[in-house]
Amino acid sequence: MAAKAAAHGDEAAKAVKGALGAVGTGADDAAGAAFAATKKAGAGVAPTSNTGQLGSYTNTHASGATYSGKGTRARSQQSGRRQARAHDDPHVATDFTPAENAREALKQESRRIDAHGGVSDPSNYNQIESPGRRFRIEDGELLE
Amino acid sequence: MSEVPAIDQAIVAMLSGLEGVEAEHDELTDTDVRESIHLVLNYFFVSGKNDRPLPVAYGMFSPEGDAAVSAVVREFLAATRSIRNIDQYPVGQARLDLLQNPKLATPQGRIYDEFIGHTDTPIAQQELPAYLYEPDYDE
Repeated sequence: MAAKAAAHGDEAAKAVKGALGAVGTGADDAAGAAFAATKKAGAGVAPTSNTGQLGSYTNTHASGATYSGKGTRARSQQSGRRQARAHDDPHVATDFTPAENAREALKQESRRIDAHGGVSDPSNYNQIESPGRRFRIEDGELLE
Repeated sequence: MSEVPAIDQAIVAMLSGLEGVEAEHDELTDTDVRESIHLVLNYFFVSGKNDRPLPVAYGMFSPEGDAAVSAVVREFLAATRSIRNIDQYPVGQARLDLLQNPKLATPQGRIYDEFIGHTDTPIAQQELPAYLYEPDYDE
């Protein structure tokens, strides 16, 4: 497997050169219906990775701090483990919302970050703005 | 026609490389991955530190995905170090502004924030999170 990964990495490097845990869930944590891959310019690849439907999530940790993100439900759990280790703050709950495409998932993520005080709020483990913020501006939801 | 600065060429190559990784690994723009890449670039390029090995775990769902992201980041950092006049770009805000130049786009017209997010100022990092060195893959 390591050799395969290394080979894959080498391919990516060549491309660059050429280019010059089970937790509780929230009220809106509903299983999403299957949907078509609606790729929209600027929004990357639509749906799925690993298990489940693409969407956005907010993980709550034991201290009350939150971390919001874009990804599948499986991603939300992996994310919870990472932040729990990084901050020594157990992951206690997940609120997940399905999205119809990647762009909408990113916009959801941005709204979640803002709803928890934004990236400058110390109780929010997100320190980096989501591209969803730009998409919200482009779509007239936010002023620059 | 003015020549594109080598640093801009390296940034476009990196963003394009990440876009290429996404073609096979669509979790590339998941928040965990995007923020991991940002933290690594912030540490090694924006802050100019070089006191530890490059991370190997960007939050991709497979060893192949993490290896692909690692290769792109490694290639970018090597490219920047080989730029003859790299010292004209001071560490800190000036380098963050280079990375977050909205005029630099991939072949599909996508810009930096889809791959590394955005911060107004460099993140103060004394060290990198341990999870960047500890792969975590679901079965």
